[in-house]
Amino acid sequence: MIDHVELRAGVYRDSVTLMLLTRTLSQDNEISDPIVAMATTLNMELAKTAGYEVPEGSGGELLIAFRAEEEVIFQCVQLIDDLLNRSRQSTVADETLNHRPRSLGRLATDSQSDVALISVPGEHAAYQAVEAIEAGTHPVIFSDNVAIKNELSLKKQARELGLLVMGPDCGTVILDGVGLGFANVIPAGPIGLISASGTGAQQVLALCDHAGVGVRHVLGLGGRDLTDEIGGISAQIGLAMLDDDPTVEVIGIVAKEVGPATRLLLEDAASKLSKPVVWVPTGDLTNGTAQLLEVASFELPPVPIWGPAIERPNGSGRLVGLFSGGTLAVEAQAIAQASGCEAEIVDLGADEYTVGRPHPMIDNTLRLERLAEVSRDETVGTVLVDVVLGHGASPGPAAELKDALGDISVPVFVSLIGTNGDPQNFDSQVNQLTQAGAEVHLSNASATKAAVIR
Amino acid sequence: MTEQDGSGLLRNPKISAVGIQLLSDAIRDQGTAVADAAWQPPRDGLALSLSQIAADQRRVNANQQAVQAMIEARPEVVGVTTAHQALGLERRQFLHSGPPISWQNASGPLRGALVGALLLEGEAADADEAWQLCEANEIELLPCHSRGAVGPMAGVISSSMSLYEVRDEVNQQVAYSNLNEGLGKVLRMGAYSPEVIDRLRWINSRLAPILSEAFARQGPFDVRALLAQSLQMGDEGHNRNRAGSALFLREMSSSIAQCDVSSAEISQVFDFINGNEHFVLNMVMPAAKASADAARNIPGSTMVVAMARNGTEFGIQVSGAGDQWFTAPANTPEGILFPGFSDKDINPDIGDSTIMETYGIGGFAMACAPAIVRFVGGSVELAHQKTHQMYEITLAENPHLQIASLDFRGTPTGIDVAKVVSTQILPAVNTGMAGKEAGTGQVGAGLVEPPMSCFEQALVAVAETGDSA
Repeated sequence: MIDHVELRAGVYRDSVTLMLLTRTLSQDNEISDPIVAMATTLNMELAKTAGYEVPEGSGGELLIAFRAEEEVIFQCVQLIDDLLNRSRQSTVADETLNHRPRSLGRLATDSQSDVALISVPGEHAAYQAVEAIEAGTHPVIFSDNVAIKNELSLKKQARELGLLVMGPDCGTVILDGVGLGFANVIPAGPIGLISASGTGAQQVLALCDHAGVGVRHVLGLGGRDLTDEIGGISAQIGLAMLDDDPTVEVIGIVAKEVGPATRLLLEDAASKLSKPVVWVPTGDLTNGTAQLLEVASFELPPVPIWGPAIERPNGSGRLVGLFSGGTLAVEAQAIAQASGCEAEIVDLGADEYTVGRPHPMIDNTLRLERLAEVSRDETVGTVLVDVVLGHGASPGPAAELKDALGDISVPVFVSLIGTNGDPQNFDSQVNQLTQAGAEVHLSNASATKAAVIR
Repeated sequence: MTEQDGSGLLRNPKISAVGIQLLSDAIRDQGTAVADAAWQPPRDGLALSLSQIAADQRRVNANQQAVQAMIEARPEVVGVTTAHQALGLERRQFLHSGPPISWQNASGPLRGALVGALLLEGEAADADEAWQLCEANEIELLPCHSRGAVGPMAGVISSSMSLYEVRDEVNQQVAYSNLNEGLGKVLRMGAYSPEVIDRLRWINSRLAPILSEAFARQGPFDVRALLAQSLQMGDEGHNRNRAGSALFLREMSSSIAQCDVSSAEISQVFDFINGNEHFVLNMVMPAAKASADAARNIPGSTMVVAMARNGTEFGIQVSGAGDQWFTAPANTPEGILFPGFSDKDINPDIGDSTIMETYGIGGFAMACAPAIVRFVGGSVELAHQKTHQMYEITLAENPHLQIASLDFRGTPTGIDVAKVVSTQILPAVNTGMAGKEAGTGQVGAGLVEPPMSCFEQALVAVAETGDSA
């Protein structure tokens, strides 16, 4: 085996694309220890740690490093070239590649966009959002790690122009049925949501779909909008927009960490709207959704449970929850705590776990490692995981997880957050998970209540 | 608070995106179109400055104020004066192009031009003596920009030189430049042979008084109106001024012909103007300078108000950072060479003429002047592409200067250092090329890239003013 290391100038791909590409390469038998990443200080250090001799770069190049037998090096480089080129899907704009704008502001102006989805690394997001706002475009900031000072300034600036800033750290948005970020497929209907939580909104969508009630809009706010530091600037604008939209009959606020002053402000704003507003707190999303549906004159049918009626956990061991959805993890933690069960709930989507790897909703590699550890750990009495479906999420999460779940001898419970229309095929996900021995719930609250050790 | 209008957002919204490809693909999977920006991250460490700029409440209004002042300026040539009279230049004081520089760091063409200017002023009997005066620091060097002037190439302006006086009544600005000498062996390219000095003397003693009288008869000459026409006649106002020079001669011919001198002299003036397709450059440059100066010193503005090169360094000044220069080593232009010269003869980038790009034409208006692309062996498509790119780094479109081939779109105007850094698109600059050795003169013409570092430094400087504000 010999080392192949190169730095390519003028080639940029986003980190998720490169991490998925690297994962594909590591499944190739001819290639060892592949790294395909932008040549940031961090990534260059990683390559050195992996034993590669890396040349000096300016930081803006693409780093390609791998080990292979000498005679297949050329072939491997070709494979990487193919993957790099494939990862950039052709678009209409690509046909006139020379004129494809680098500036989001120019692009949004030229294409007369209404909304701009921003998912660059967090440190770059505030400037991109300002460009969108100046182009008269509502920004959806998927990126996290944006300074709160920037968030406040963006939201104030947007408010002046009558624009809604969704985010930062906004995972889920649905606009007239089109999902941006992680979004489930759901028919249009009388409910409109504003949401401070991506997976929280997805749980509400899953349950509304189950009740046969459509949701036309989900306006994401970002996790900090309802704190008193931001004061619900986006929430107020979102409420006004949904109130003005004639297709919306009932408005839900999926709320976490609401500041006391902001709560008063929003309650006052809500009381002046023409439509009923229902708070859906993330402490118990299922209960909150039931109330939302009731106000809309619908009913949440019993929340379904699939799979073998596995024995209830008892007495021994602790509950381990391995989550991809942050809000779902918090909800599970609260429910477990209230029941007095010893629980270790981990949000694998938190920043500390996503440095240098894709979010667990896109790629389950880290969760598989943790599940393997859990299967060998005799102090574990029961296991809880979430599987979130919808656009943006892994195309086959159950297939990725089923073997690892099957290897676990203690009871396994799954919160399957999805709708019948989701691209992953809901029924097939249920079947694969139950065949792996798991008990599958559509409600995270219900799964957690089942999983706690009494 | 403005009325919240969710109608565009909540009914079949049009989507653009920047960042993770997978998220755009997820939208396309739903049968909805997405326009992706071809974003690349700026150099490490600059994200912080861009975020500071994004949070600076002054910026949007400051930039609007800056670019509107520049666009609405209406510069006119009001007459001909001298550097001594207008700027108070003494005989051993010399203006030069670009950011400040010493003789020791000056490049060949600037040194050659200074030698020539000393000869013109009668401060030295021959080139050797002039050279020694310079070596002995017996001369004072000042940037043209520091005295409200601009000069093409070496940009050397000395006490006795005749200057156009350009005034803008809209913003109450005034700017100056010397009279263009023609092509080839000329002072501004660093040549100082007797023919060069003789021509300068003729300009001062014969051409300048005739033009002065003609301007007095004609009244203020509207430079913006001239540019508006010449841009639609194949000029870009920097490296191609063929149409503008012809228009100038056409409009002024009657006023010139009425001057009280012999018909032989009138004929000589006509021949001189007719034989110099850059004749009008030295009027459009101070016009651009007067316009851009109205945009100076607006706190929080990230707009470039000057780009200039001294043959050693490229420098820029930005509205929100006062008169501070942000400099980096100048690049060497690429283009076509006159017969007998090779790439090794080309001096690094030189001249104040990048004031034209600062004003939104020159390289920015390449789409007006497809003939220019022959300098770099490019296609007409390249000319359009350059102009399209410049819309990504500018704040506005100048409604007074339109590009016919882009359906009369206004020229891309007002370079924003934040946009340059965030897109990594550098201003497109068309330029002449001077010979490296003092005394050579012009060796060709082409295109050149400004150094990114100037824009990065300027961004950081303006971002820091926001913190204290």
